[in-house]
Amino acid sequence: MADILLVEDDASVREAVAMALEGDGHRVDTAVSGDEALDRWRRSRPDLILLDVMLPGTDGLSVCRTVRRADEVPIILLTARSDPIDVVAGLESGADDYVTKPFETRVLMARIRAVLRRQARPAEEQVMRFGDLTIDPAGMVVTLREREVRLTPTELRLLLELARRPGQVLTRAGLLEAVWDYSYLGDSRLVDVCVQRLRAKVEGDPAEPVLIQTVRGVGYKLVPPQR
Amino acid sequence: MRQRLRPRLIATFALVAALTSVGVAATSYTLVRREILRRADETAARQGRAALADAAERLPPSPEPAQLADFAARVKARDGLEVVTVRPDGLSDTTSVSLSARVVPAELGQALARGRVVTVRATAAGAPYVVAAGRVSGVADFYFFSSLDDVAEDLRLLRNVLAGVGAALVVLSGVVGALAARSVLTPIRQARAAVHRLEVGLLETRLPERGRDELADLAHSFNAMAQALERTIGELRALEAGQRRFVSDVSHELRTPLTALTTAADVLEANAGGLNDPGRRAARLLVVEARRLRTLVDDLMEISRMDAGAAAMAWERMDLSALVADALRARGWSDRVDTHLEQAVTAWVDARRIDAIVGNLVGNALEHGRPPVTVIVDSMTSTGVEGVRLQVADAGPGIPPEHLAHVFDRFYKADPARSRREGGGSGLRGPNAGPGLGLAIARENARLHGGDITVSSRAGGGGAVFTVVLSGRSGPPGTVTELLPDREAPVTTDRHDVVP
Repeated sequence: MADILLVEDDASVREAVAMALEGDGHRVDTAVSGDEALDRWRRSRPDLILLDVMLPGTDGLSVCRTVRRADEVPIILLTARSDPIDVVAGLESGADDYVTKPFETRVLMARIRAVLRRQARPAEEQVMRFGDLTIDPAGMVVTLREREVRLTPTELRLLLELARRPGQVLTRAGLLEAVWDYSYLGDSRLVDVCVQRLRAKVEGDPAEPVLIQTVRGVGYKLVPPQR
Repeated sequence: MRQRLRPRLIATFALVAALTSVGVAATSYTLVRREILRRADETAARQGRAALADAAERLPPSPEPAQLADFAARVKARDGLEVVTVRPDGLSDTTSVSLSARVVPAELGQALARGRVVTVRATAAGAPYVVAAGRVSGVADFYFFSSLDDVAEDLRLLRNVLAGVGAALVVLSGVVGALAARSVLTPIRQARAAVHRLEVGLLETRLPERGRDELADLAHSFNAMAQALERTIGELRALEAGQRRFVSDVSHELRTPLTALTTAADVLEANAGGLNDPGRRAARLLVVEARRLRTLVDDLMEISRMDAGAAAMAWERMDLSALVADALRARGWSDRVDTHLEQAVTAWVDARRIDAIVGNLVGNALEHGRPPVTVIVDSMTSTGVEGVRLQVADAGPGIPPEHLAHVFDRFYKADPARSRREGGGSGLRGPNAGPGLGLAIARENARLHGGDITVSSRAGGGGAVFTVVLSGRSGPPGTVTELLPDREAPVTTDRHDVVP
């Protein structure tokens, strides 16, 4: 189904996860360190990266940031809840989702499927304009003041969810379900961090957001600029 | 202590001073008075004798009244004495307006008969006198009144001075007592403050050791005790921290092989169809046990986070009933339990932790109790307590009283005689679960909400009842919600369980 780069320093975990991925029909490439991961990514350009956060040498977050500068490939972090590196830090580095070790295989597979689904071209929709911002769902292109803004599939889905219902407040739980496929008790930090990343790309001043506004106690809404 | 020792010391000092000064004053007053009066008596006797000799010399027998009066006036002018004369024929005369023969003490008359000069102290016409009396035969009886007014005045002055000095001494002693009290009480007060500081956990508290008195001894003993306490508690804390870190480290270390193990087991399970029968059974066993191990390690990590105080709360104000309904639905339990969920019971909660509590309690009830399992959510306004309640009950055999106090203990075996495999009716965990951390974690989760879980067993074997009470306060304790402009959900910084 997809070419997946698995970055994991522990040989047994690497082999077991690779087996499980292959069992689910994916093609798997592996790397044992951050540097090797970057090397593999540059050569093979995978569809998805499964990235262990705690890596010898270049750590997972640095890999994540480096990849993000050049590529919108989906990244799922493999973390331990007890890792000193925060989940939030991982998400802020550009990861799309995370799973916590020791994870259930079916959970990991579900996350992978959900992330890959976001890459699919949205079925509908004509071009939407909000002030300087133009969203072309069909072409999966977003431009701000005539310049293309590079969004990850997750960011694009989040923007589309908000843009489809301008002025309407969307709850974190609703966004988690619509964008991340979490139907129950998803981590709302996924939404919060992704909104931050989105604002950094599409707001004139991300510190004073006008387009994507927070509605205290509820969630977020996209507010079309007044003319 | 301060309120009672100080007045006691002051009173004691003052009392001693008062007794001393009264004693000294009374003694000295008595001595002085006796001496002064003795001298007054002597003077009066001497003057009387001189005046009598004078009278015998100067006056003729049976003198004329004028001669007597003349003599008396001279004596009065010379010696300052009042003179009363009584002639043998009974005629009397006086130099004074207030003194006369009538005020002469009667006993003097009898003494005169014996022919000597006698003195007596007497009060005449309201004033004190020493009266010297004598007879010149054939001339007259003479009574010389020497006023004691001056002496009485001196004695009064002496009394006043003694009383004044005594009172001053008493006051001074009180002040000395207060000073002494302070010198004793200040160290005692310091000691008390130090004990209080120890009490609240400031183990580095020490007392100043000044001087070589008993108080310095006390301070020294106190310091030795505090030091021993600090050392012992420090050792215990280090030990406890070490154990916590050990549990945390072990869980952490188990995580990686466990990830490989469970993932491999999942792969094995998916491919079990290709195995022969023993292989399939072995694979099944492997899968089940690997999952159990994962639960156990998850629980260990969770509880060591809680022990380390590193459990972060993601506070949100939510409808508890909706939350509980979702938790049941997500586990496919909605049809297996009877729910009584009051509408709109809102509380500040961490949704994940509430979900964990529901999962644990209802899971236990379904596994060990008998149906019907009931789940109740209500506000406790009817009981007058501000708070919300979640109750999970079953209709099983309940929990024997001797186990009730221990069901929240970690790895508590309800019946040590039975193996965990056999489980048994009183077992608190599933037949495949063994004793675990589930209830301990559930209670920690409730406590993180400022609430608690209690358990009871209904009379007559009516099943176990677990009751979670969450505080009904209007806001979460100690969150930074209000300070964050862009997130109303309190940020879970989730600093994890890395024990420093």
